[in-house]
Amino acid sequence: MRTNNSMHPLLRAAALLATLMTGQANAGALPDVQNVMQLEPEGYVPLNKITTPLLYPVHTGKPYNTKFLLSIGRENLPPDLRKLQPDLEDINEFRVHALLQQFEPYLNGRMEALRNAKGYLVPLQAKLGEYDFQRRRFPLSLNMMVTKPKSPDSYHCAGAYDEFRHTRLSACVSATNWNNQNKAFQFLAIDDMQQAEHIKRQLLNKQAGFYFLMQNDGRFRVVDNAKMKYGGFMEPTLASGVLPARVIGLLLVDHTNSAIILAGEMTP
Amino acid sequence: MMKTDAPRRRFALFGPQPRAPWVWIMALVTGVYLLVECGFNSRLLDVVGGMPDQEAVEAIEEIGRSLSGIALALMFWPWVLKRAADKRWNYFLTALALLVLTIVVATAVYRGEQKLVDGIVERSSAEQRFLATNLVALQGALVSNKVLLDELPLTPEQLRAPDGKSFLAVFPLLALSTHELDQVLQAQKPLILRAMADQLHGGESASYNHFLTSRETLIETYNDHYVPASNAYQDSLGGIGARQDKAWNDYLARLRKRGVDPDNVPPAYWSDIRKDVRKRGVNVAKDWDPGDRAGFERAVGLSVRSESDKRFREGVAKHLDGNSLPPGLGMGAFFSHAVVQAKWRKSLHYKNSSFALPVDLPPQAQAPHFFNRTVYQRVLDDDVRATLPQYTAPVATFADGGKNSDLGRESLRALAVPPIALGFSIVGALIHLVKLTLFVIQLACAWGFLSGIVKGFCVPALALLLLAVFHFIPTSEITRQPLYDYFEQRGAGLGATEPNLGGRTAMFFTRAVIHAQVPAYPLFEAVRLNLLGGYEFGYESHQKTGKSDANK
Repeated sequence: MRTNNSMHPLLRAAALLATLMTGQANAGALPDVQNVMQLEPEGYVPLNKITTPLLYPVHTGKPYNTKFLLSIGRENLPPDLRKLQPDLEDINEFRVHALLQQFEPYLNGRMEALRNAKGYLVPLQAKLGEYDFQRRRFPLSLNMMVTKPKSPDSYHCAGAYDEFRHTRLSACVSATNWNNQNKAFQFLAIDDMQQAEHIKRQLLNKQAGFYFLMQNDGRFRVVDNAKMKYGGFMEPTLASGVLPARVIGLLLVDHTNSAIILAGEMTP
Repeated sequence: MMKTDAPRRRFALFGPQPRAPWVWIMALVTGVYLLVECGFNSRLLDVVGGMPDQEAVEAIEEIGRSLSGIALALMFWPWVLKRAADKRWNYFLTALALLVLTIVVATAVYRGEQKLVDGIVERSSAEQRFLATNLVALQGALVSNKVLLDELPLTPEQLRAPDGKSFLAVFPLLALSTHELDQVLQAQKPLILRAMADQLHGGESASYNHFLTSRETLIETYNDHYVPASNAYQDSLGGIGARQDKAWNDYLARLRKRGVDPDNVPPAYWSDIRKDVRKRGVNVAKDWDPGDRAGFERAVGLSVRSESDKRFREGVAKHLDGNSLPPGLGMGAFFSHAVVQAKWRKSLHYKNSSFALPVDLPPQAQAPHFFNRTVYQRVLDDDVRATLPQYTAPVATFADGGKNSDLGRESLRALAVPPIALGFSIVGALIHLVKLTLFVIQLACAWGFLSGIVKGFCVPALALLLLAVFHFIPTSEITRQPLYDYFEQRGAGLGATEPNLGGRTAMFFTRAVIHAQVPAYPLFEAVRLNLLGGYEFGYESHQKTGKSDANK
């Protein structure tokens, strides 16, 4: 991934491809947008603690525990609903019921968006190594939220749609064409050292983050065993299902304004 | 006095003998044996004078060998009993010695006779086997009285008489030496085979009765077993809906007891739930979703259907030789079904036929004729068609390794066993008759043979002499027929053109046996029926009558 601070994000993406993806062109795979907010109208739904667990009810038609989903995914709620969420803990069930009605349109909208989704915006965990001044690039190590033990594979899992015997239940997304051994996205090449330093600072301060842009790549698979368990002792969570998806590109997003700083396309 | 008596006794065969206890025992045992042997002899004549199948031949042969073994063992009993008396053995030791002696001798004789027959069969040539095969067929044809011998016509009454039965028993042996026998029989083979088949089926009238019996049995199977099983099957399918509801409600109750709802069960627990559901007889699919009621009900439906199928199949199969039928057949469809037809034909021993047997019969007066025309004659045609190629096959095919080798061996065995068994039985009976007479004389007059060795030679000689006497007593019309004379002349050479001692002796005693059976058989049969309770000696009457086993 290589950029130039004077370039428009998509132009920068082209530059990234030219330098890091061994010159292979994948024209037209990434949507032509400058801000991640523009991705959803293009059919790409951001996966967070609300939308990720909803993949399970969306693809299986099973019910979910609204109160629990909202409790775990509070941080991803829109500000107005986020304010209402604590009231769901009220002991007056009538009030809780009335409150839940207010969440319904939002949740139905999220489910509808997931149902019609072409793809997903999936947050990543990234480690940026020390800048290589000779080659003018950072070594980059990416992982999705949940890593599989003793394996280069990782999954995006977040939130919970229900709880069963003190274990959270959620859904995950797996990458069908990528793991951390993949040659793609192992370096972040930035010629301008000032910009490189700025990006590193943004990443360290959580003001920016890497995201995969993924597309559906198969049917949602129900995991009918207890093998996909994560979250450790504190937040034990079982993945009830996995949605296979193909990585089509990597985005570096400015969290302050949702702008796409960098974009790189995945080679086949 | 002693001086004058001593030389006379030295050369005497008979002399004073004590009425020792062992003589009483031997008289008793010999008497009992004689009764059994007489009963067996009469039964043996019934078997060998008919047309025994291999099973019957083997059954009677085994008993015959056992009795011969016991007969010879009894010859040595006096020696053991005398020794026991001299040495003052206790009862246990004496009984043990007798038991060991009997087992050893009887086993040796049993094996010896077996080897004798096996040896005859094994040493036989392809030609002998071929002729034996055709002669056994001819024997069957004669028994059925559908074939008559020129210059020796036998009426059914003659064939049922003791001399007729004896003649039939030895007929294949007599005829074996006939000049160019196969050429004589060639043109008549279809007729002979048809008559043999008729005899095997028990004749037209008996076959009709068997047909009726087996038809009734199958109608009973249909009404009493098939229809109830079919109705139960339909009822069971009709109750699937209720079974599905009940099973689903039970399933829900079990889940709710564990605090879960089918839709809320986490997928991680689905396999446990599937296992539990399967354990309770609902064989859900391997990817079944615990909330999928339709899939659950489908599995219940399949289980009920498969359970009902199984119950129906097993219920019906018990009565149809392990085969099954589809449910819901009407009587016509049931009877015309290949499985029922196959079982029916099998029960009637119509092994060479494949046509459908009719269940609908015309009125009673026309039914026998209808059966004869549409069933029985076709069965005989099929039998002849199936068997003729074997009976006209080249002689070489009867050699070892040939395709008709087994048939030839079986036929030769069927040909050899009856006369051998009859011969041993008659000789055994006569020897023990002589022995019993001697024991009675000893008990009555205190006289007997002075030397055991001399007695050992004299008793068989007297028995053979007694049998030989019958050679000269013409009790039977059969041995006066010209064809019998021809058989005797040919048989005297045992296949060679010139007579020889062995052949002459065999023919001499064959005639004696036929004559002897005329007075002996009624007496022996009376013994069997009255003193032995009609014991069958391993040869059940229905074996010959071809009784239907459709109900088995």
